[in-house]
Amino acid sequence: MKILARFRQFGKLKPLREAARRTPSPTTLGALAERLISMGRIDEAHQTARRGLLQFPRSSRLNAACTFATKHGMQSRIARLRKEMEDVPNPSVFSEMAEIYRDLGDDDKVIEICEQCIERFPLNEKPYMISGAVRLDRFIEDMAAHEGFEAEMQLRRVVKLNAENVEAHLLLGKLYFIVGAHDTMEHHVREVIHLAPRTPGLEEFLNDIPTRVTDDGDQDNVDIPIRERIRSVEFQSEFPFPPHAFPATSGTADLPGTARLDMENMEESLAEIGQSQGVMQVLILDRNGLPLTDAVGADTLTGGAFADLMTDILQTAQTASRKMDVGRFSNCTIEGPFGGIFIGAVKNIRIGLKYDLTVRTERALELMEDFTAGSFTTLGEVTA
Amino acid sequence: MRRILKGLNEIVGIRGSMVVSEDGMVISSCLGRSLDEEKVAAMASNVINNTHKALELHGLEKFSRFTLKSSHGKMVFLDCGIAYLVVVMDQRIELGPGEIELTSAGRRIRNMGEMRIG
Repeated sequence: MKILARFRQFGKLKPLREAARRTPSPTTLGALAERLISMGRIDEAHQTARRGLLQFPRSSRLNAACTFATKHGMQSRIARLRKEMEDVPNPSVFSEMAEIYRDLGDDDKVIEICEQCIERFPLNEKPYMISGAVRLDRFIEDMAAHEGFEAEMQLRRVVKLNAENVEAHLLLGKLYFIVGAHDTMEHHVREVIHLAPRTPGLEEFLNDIPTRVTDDGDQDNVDIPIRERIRSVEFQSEFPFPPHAFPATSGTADLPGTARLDMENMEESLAEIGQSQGVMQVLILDRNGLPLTDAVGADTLTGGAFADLMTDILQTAQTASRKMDVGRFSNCTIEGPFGGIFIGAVKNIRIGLKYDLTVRTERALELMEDFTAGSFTTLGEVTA
Repeated sequence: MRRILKGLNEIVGIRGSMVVSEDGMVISSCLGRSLDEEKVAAMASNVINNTHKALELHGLEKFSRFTLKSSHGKMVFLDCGIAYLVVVMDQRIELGPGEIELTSAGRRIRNMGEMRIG
């Protein structure tokens, strides 16, 4: 019976493996990883998801599968730490737990653990450091002002507790650089140079700053308070200076604000999607709401009308995201008697898809994820 | 109605839920500590009304469901006939397991409304 059961399982896997091999995409690789997880083959699922992420780093489905598999592998470590936190709480245990959740990408949990640690050990710099770094990453990703405020507060607390914390000075330097407070940035960068003279690239970076400022025509007006600069980033939805231009830091949030579009591939994919059964309209807009492509599809709504509809709904959704403090808007789906509408925001691009009642929303999401994954090359500074 | 919302909130990752009329009046709510009732109601009313206006302008009917996904959270707005069920949840929660409960809650709230009108 066992052999039979195994044979059946293998049978279910075979078509998924074939599909992932023939047409690798977030959908096919994600489906395979999920099936492997359901079969308890976690290591294999993890490998599949990680391999997929090399090709499709933006895939939420693959990221979710990878996180699940990673977390599963860490269960015993998490359980041990949880027990230690209850029995013998100390800053190191809290920090270790926070770092695990940081690796798992669960920032909310990281912040929660850091807050618990701060409550018990308010004079320990570690939880402020971890929390500050997470908040800075979120500020760079979401451009939400309150994240910037928190990042600054936490990191300043670190240097107050320990004036020789190089990492805190570096991250503060980065924060002040991206919001345009260059005098303040320079102070922290010079501290890093003083404390860790071997840190590469910092002297050259400081020498380059006057040129960069002059070229942009943007003088560092010391009279503008930091909080106002941070607020301005949220209002303008852009940084005066790009995060990736700051040296000697790492982190996924260092991605530039624009992404390179593979236009040829994108137009081809759009045409293909437009021919899918039930798809009424597909359109790509730039960040200002102007069409980057011709509308594809046979809908009664013209391309211009669909662009207007997309822009109106996008504005509403982005406002709601900001007010509810749930981070940066990613996508929305609207279902009704007309079928459905999907609108997604990827860096500086807006994607809209209208479909009829024959298409399940899950299928529409799959189409969009595959399309997004295939339409962006490695990130760079160039816009479409 | 509050019992329905409380039951819904027991799903892991749900931060809070609320039943709100189209003009933003709170009919019932069960929100986590991090959520402010007035703020959620105002936001929900804004989303519902603005989206309906945009759809109507282009000859489309009102929505039955609006799902909004952001980097650190998700929100669902479900038409229950007399009002809207609004659910705020963590970004990581995949709606698979909770989808049944969400749809069921929406249906029960709709039935309550129909009974009252009947």
